[in-house]
Amino acid sequence: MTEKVVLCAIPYVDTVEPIMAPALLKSILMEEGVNSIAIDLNIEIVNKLKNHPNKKNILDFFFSQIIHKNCIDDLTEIVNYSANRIAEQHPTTIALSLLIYSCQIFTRWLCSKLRQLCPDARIVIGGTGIRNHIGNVNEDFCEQIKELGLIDDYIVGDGDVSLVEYIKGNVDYPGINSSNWQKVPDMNALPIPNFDDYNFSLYEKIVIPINDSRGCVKNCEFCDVIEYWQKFQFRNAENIWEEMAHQIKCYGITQFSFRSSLINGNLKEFKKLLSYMQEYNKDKSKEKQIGWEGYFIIRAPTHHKKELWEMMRDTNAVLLVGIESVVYQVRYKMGKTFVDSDITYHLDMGRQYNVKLVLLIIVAYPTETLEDYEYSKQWFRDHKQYANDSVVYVSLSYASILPGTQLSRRSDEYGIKKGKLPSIWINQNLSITNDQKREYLIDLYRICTEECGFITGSNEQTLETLSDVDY
Amino acid sequence: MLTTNISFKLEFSESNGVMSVSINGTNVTPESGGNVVFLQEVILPSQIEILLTGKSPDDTILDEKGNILTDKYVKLSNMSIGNVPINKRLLFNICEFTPDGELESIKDTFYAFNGKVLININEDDFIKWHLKQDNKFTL
Repeated sequence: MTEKVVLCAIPYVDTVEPIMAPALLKSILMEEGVNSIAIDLNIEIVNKLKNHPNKKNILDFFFSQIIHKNCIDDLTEIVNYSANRIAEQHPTTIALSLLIYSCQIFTRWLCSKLRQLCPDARIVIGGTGIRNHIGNVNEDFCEQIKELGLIDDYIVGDGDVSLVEYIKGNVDYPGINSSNWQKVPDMNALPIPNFDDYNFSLYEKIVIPINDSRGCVKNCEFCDVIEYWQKFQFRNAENIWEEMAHQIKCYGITQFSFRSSLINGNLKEFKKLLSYMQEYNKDKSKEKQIGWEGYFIIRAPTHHKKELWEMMRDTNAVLLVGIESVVYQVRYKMGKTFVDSDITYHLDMGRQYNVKLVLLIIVAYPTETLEDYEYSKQWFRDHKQYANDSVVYVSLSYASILPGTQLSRRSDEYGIKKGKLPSIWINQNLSITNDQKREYLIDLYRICTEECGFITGSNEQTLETLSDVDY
Repeated sequence: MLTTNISFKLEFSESNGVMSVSINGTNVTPESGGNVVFLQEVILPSQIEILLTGKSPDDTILDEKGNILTDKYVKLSNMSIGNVPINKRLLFNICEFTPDGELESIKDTFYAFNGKVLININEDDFIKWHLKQDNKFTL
């Protein structure tokens, strides 16, 4: 029988952009002559739920497996729709990609239905979401669903090589049913993702995702990425530009989303890439120009001089800036060593060069005191002149302690008592209650939006925290 | 018509042999060690019938104080429908056991008498059945 692989991105990931993994894996399999189809199931479910009256209750199922009585029919329909979407391709292998840990819940239900609809297909799972709360590999999850017969195998780590080996039948390859995996030695050698199976009209935000690096140059204590990819790996500018030019030619899409922890990890390559984009944009109208967004680390002004800002302006950059805490001591201790004046410099340069900034803030970081909460509120009041004038969005995320991170390992030192979920914790040394943290989140949200005019948002899980207290 | 995979794990306790069990008319024989996992494909909705026979009063061995030393019984320790395990509390609640000679059924997964167990799966979609029962995967 001819091999046919369905590569599928599992919901629910709170994004209206394409998920890249199925497209990348498709191109890798194509190089090996393996027939496959890439399905971004996530966007289909995100769209189904977009204006759904039961959205909040349905998301309770995706995130916490809470089954509300009034959405049983909806949940049944979602599981069946998803399984049928895959089964109608008559796959011999079903490869499910889990981007975040909460995908684990839906994966179990989906696989049980897939076993019924495609009893002869083998099912393999992979992706960063198979890890335990993003910390380290949740072998309990993988082994549990393998033992239940819901999957045949799982792939840990970079699947770029191991999936091919798996399809070839080499199940002893590192990372297959084992946490000992090998990094892809050279990211430049990976093929260009193939989005031929994607329907871009489904996306509220039409962008081509690009993976420019893995790992990070920084060592922030709360971050799990550095635990997973311990060395920073990057692609060179020529290699990335070749991909961008190819995708523009294939799909006519000029907006790109860099899916790495930071776009400016290697400044030399970053500047070179910007120069390619700048050259492309030179004689084009705004609508035809390249634009991009990516995570960007703040450095001292000497590293990010005006020439860099000019290039970012000319390439229509949107920078996702992980400030995390506006309190210097807190920020320094967590591993972000830039000083307050560096933040101001970036805000000013963004304003001067019309480079859009998205500020990423961790709300109620475990080492923040009640005084720090007040300082942070005032900080936003003091910087409201940047609202919609460089700062286009403020993203507030409730603080979580991810297992396997330095923050988790330092919990005893900080006096933190952890709960069952990463978002449940209390710092006993500070005696700040959960109610106080929630109040702070609500208050900061209000100050940012109503008092200061920042467009402010939060992810679905943080919003649930807000709604729990009847904001 | 789609079939649904149902799995039963039964534990047999031996005393003058083991009880005879049939599930929907198919005999289930324990492996060495007294346990068996039995798989069946069914079309839902369906009523599962488990028949238990072969137990006599002589199979319950007592000491002089009336404590049971050994006994012949069967325990339904695990069950899954569509590869979704049924939690213990739910499993207890869905097993309607009617001992021979009795008119009333009781909810139980431990069977030390001859009789009949009925498990009613009243949905044609096992996903919906699990959701309606609030049956969840262990996270």
